[in-house]
Amino acid sequence: MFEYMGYSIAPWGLDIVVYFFLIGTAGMTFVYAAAPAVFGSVFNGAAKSMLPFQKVGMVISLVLLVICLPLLITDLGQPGRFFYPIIYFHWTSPISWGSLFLPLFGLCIIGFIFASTNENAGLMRTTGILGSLLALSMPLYTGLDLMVNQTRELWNNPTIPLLFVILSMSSGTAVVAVTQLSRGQLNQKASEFLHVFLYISLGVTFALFLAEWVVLNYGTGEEQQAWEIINRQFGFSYWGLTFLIGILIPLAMIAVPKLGRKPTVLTVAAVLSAVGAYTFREVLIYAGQLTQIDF
Amino acid sequence: MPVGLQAEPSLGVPGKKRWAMVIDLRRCIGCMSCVCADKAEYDVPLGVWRTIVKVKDTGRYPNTKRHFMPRLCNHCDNPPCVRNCPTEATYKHEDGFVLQRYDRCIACRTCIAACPYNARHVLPKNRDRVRIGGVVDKCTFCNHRVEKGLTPACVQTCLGRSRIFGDLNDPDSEVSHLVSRHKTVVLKPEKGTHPQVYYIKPDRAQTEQVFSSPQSSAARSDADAFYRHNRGSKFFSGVL
Amino acid sequence: MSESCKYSRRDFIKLGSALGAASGAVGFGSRRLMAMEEALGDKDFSPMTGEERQAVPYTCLACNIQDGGMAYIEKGRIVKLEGNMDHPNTRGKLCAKGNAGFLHVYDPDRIMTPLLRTGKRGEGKWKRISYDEATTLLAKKLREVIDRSQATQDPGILNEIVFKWGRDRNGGTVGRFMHALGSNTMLNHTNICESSKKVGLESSWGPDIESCDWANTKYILNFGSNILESAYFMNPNAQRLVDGVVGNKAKLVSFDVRMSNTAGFSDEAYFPYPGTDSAIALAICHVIMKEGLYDADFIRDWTNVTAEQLIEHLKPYTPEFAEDESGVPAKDIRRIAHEFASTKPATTFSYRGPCKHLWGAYQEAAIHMINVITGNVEKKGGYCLPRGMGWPQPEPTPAKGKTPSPIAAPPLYPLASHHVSTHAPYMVMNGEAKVSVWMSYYDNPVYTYPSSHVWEHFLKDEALVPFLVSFSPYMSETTELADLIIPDVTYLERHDPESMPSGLYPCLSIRQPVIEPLGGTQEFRQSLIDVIHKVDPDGSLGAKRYFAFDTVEDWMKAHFDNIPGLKEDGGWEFMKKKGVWPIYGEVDKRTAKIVDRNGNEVDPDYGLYSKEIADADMQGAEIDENGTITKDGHAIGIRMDSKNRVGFGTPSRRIELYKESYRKYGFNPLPVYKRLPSRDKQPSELVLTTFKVNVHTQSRTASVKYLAELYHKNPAWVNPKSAAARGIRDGDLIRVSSSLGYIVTRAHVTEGVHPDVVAISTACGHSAYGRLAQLKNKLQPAEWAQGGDPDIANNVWWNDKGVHPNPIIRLAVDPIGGSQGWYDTLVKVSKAQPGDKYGDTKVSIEAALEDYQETLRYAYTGDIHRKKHKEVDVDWDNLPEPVLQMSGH
Ligand SMILES: Nc1nc2c(c(=O)[nH]1)N[C@H]1C(S)=C(S)[C@@H](COP(=O)(O)OP(=O)(O)OC[C@H]3O[C@@H](n4cnc5c(=O)[nH]c(N)nc54)[C@H](O)[C@@H]3O)O[C@H]1N2
Ligand SMILES: Nc1nc2c(c(=O)[nH]1)N[C@H]1C(S)=C(S)[C@@H](COP(=O)(O)OP(=O)(O)OC[C@H]3O[C@@H](n4cnc5c(=O)[nH]c(N)nc54)[C@H](O)[C@@H]3O)O[C@H]1N2
Ligand code: SF4
Ligand code: SF4
Ligand code: SF4
Ligand code: SF4
Ligand code: SF4
Ligand SMILES: [Mo]
Repeated sequence: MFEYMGYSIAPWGLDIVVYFFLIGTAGMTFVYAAAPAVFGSVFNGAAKSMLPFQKVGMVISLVLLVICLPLLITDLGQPGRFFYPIIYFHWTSPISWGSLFLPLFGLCIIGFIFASTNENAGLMRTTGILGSLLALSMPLYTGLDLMVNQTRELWNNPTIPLLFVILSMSSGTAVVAVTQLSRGQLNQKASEFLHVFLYISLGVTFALFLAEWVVLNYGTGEEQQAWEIINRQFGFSYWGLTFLIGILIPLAMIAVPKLGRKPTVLTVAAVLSAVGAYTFREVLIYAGQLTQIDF
Repeated sequence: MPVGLQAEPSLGVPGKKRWAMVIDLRRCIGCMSCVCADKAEYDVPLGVWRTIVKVKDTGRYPNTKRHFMPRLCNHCDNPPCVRNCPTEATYKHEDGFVLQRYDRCIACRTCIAACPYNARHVLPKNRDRVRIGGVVDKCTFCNHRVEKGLTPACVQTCLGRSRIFGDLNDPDSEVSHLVSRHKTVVLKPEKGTHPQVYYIKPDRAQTEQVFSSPQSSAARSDADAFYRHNRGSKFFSGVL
Repeated sequence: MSESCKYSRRDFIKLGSALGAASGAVGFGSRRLMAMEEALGDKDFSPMTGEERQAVPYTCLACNIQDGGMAYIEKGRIVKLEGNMDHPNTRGKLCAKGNAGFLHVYDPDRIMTPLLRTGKRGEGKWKRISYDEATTLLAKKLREVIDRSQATQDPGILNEIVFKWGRDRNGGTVGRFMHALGSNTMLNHTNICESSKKVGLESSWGPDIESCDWANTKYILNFGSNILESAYFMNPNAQRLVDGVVGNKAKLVSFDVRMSNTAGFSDEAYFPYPGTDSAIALAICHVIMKEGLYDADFIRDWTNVTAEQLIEHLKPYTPEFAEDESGVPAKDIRRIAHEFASTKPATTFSYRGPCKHLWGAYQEAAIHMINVITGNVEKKGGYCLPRGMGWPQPEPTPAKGKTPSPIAAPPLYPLASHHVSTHAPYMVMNGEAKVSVWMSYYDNPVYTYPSSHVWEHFLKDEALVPFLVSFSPYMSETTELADLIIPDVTYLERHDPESMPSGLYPCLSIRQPVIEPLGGTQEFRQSLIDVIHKVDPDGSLGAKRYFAFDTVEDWMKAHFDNIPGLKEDGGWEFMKKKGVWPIYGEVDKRTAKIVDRNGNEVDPDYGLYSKEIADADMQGAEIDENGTITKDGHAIGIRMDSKNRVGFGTPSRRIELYKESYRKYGFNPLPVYKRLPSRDKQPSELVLTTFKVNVHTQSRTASVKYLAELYHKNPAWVNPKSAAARGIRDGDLIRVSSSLGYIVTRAHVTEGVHPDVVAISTACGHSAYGRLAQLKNKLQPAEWAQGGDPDIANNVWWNDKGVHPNPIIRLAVDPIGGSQGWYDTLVKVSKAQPGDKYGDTKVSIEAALEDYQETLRYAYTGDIHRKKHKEVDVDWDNLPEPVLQMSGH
């Protein structure tokens, strides 16, 4: 007789990856849109360059959120029970926190839109600050959701939430750049503003990518197994889409500020980085599960 | 100590029970009675298992050996599956059982992601007899039997008497005797889960099964069929 | 069973009643301090509601070990099976098949109504009819034969009524039915099962099997038995084998041609060339005898040979000779011989590996001899006689038919006391016998026989088999071909009496409907009662009076209400409640031994052969010069140490290592090794071996979902060396070809198989037996089928049902035991050819007919027989003439 198997499945699939990506993007889009109201004239009023994006950004953020909700809910085996994490709140579970923050975040968006149409600056500021914090919590909690799995070594490190926040910054930047470019509103100031953030996010992503690479090579057996899987199954996603297209090329494009601040260049770079932001998440989520399938 | 569990670890706590299983690998003959008894007890559908027995052949002809490795939920004293569950649908009983509340579970599969032993599964909705489905399930240590003073079903039928069950906090119990008199191992102790299934005298080939993927083409093609069957179904989209 | 068993039965009924009386008090006495605190069984609760499930005892028949079971029922549905804690040999445990057994009841493709064929044979077109219509039709067909016989005054015509069964656990029902009709043409499946083992053993010491005291032994030599997965008696033996090997530190040495779970579990495993076990066994005997390690007293007192005679006979069988034949190193054989002779107690066990070859009976007799010369017979921890019990047949019982039936007892096989059922189709095709009505019960030759395509060909032919009836509840490969199907119920819904010598505690057990038969189905025995009542409505034929039971339960009462001891305990009512009798004690939770109320082990009885004959039974007995005691023309015991002892169930009441019955037909009276044709194969050929697996039974579990999930395909095991020589890699599509044709399957390249062997499990590869067995589970159920189980409809994940090897296995029968040589077919294994598809099977009928002619040449009248037995001291020109005999067992 040969090996009997109790086969196992990887619990999280495409829905979750897309959700993680979109909710992070929604969060960062909100942060950009709320920036003028939140930061006002700090940093020499740099955030003011986002004023033209304010309303449309809020709407985009809301739309992304509205896409996310059914994605998240239908991914559940029991969609009708989507509110259970709130009524049976479990404080050690990131999903519980996420479920709580998610509707609050939605309320903030609506509140902000409401405030901005009513030109209520105070409310805009409150919902902007609160919403930005909640917006940041979106990629953060999805990262934590992986990180708290103490038994999955690929996930169980504190850089994951950081990475997810940073990746959201890339995709959020892409949303702003694409929207504003297509509306003909990506002016020099806005480009400079976005360039700073894209630069930061790509730089940090690059650093984290290298760190991850070291861990995967020098880490425990499980991490090395993940390395195996990545190179075998997700080689193209990892090296091609994430590293080359998602990090190296955009980084090179914006490395020289003069060039990088050109609206079109910046937008292309931001879009590429968003691709990387998606595939990096995908690789980490999938490979992290596959290491355990046969255990 | 541990946070987010509904019950503190009970191992060694006086006045509390700590149910545990000892699996004496010298006595396991790979008969699969445990697997079938468990499936019957709970109407466990095809494609998911509360317990399995892995098989591994080693050695070169004519010096070959066969090793069996029964697996089930470890009813960890520090269960990560419980901590991450957003609804407390999975919870830890003060006597050590890690259990499911089916009516609460939203099937977010966080607990599956958290369990380092692959002890959990999503119950398909199409079952023969029992109508509960679309939620996560796992071995319950047969708490409904144990509470009535019976051994778990897999222990009851174990042909080799390889599976022994009892209260580790009771120094006179057979599990206590076995654990104190034999060298035992638990699986992946480094994960900090404090598993409560103890294995007697495994050799390396046996423990390594815990970390090995299907080797033979026959087993691999079965694995492929399994993943193909599950692909495109509600969960697991694209991963496998 | 044999005569010696008859003795022990009576003995044990007495013993049983004493214990039974005590047990009333034991059952629920004070609980000893147990290591495992929880109760091991006897109760079950619903995990959903917490309610206690209703418990009804029964006897398992998921395979043929007949373990005691307890069915748990929730709202009229069987939800769970467990071992019966009161069964002394089962000890509360069931194997995987036993645990999954309730799925037989709820098989969505179970046949729920009698069916009458409307299309061509095998076309699958059926008309649903009632049980009444069905039994009337069968009765009419039977009556036609009887009328024809009466009209021509030729009782031989009655033998055209054929009854063929695989498993008959009805306690003599079939014999009663057939004899009532006047036919002797009864055929079982035993010649494809293990009949050469039986014939090798019965002629040696009486009964057809040994019962090893596994738990108490110190050394076990296992020849080709897969104790942990199959064999008689899988579950009870496996339990006690583990107790012996792990608990009692016994050493287990196995011989098999591949790594079974048993070989993999053994302290030492050897892989002999197929069919060479007797060379090894004889070499072990050679060493023991030559070096004086034998039990001189036992050989002198209890065998019909002398030590000197044996030493002389065994001279050629040196370990070096055995090494040449088997490949097992001589030094290991020598060491094992020393270990076996010096370790007490010790025992051998053997099953189909050695005996399912040409001359398999010699192999079994040779292995048996190891125990005899070392005096391990009937010792605690040794090689014991089987312990069964009997139940009386309700009187009156019909006499046998008037004329012997050639297919039931082929004259060329005078020693084959368990029929030679493989030959039936060939004999009918050759005009040696005629068939009018063929009844098939618990039998699936189109799947389970060698050259299985011949059976399909035969049963499809309406000229040869004019009327074919099947009693199967499942649409098997054979049942598919029937004209009329009268479905039986499953083993959990019917009545059977049982007694299996599956351990050292003899007992009786029963099967009873644990739920009402589903959907108005009717048990086989009731159908037979109905048929007889319709064949002989007014009793004028004289058949009806043997079936004067209103219900099957009445019939069971007739078996059980008058057994001494049991009668006092409550007879049938006791059996219904407890399922088993006598109750010896409780299962100790820590040791699993059967203990009395004080926690002391209830000792089995040993030394059965030296029990004394009661003075009353000696009345009118005579003692001859060899000490054999005879009474009414039967040997009943032996005079030894001035005592009258019962001895063994042989003509001399001693163990007959020398078998005069063999010599008479030109076979060697002493155990010998005969080099098989397969031993001289070409290097390009391999020996095809088939095997059973722990989670399947014969042809009948591929439709049981839990078991099919565990094991559903059977790739061919090939050793890496032999694979490399043929350019085959693991998983490759291959052709396995014998002289009959070929199958296309896949290679499983594994270190666990002899390089000269290709091994294919017999469990998979159905072309019938319901949708799951054929992986057609997406189809709708047939209109006659039960239907149901959304689990099967939706969740079957595997996509391979295996490829069945039997079509390419050649008919080849042991001329002594009449047993099919399953493991003698030579095959070529090669990469598949272009266009070959997985599962392709192409075989020739003509080649199979040639095999039949060829195998007759080994029979005692054949030319090869003479060539192979030159050494035998017999008048070769005056061998006994072949004669038609009344069939044996
Ligand atoms: N699980 C399960 N148990 C069963 C049954 C079942 O179908 N399934 N059926 C029952 C019945 S009816 C029977 S008859 C018994 C049969 O029980 P067993 O005889 O134990 O089983 P088999 O698989 O028929 O054959 C036994 C072994 O013989 C090996 N073998 C083949 N050729 C040789 C040889 O030349 N020498 C040696 N030493 N070994 C050889 C095979 O590899 C195989 O492992 O099992 C009974 N128990
Ligand atoms: N290649 C190969 N072939 C083998 C063997 C092998 O080792 N290798 N082993 C051989 C051995 S040991 C044996 S004993 C034979 C067994 O050969 P069979 O006796 O032919 O096989 P079973 O599978 O027991 O078949 C019984 C049939 O009974 C019917 N049946 C099932 N349940 C019930 C029921 O409840 N009531 C009734 N009335 N009928 C029922 C089904 O149609 C089933 O197909 O197979 C032999 N075939
Ligand atoms: S799947 Fe159910 S049990 Fe598991 S974490 Fe989610 S809610 Fe909890
Ligand atoms: S084995 Fe897995 S499911 Fe069971 S308690 Fe431990 S972590 Fe939870
Ligand atoms: S303890 Fe109970 S639930 Fe767990 S594997 Fe055993 S039988 Fe199944
Ligand atoms: S029932 Fe016991 S002996 Fe059999 S496979 Fe399971 S653990 Fe092993
Ligand atoms: S060995 Fe298994 S299938 Fe056979 S009678 Fe026993 S429990 Fe039933
Ligand atoms: Mo058999």
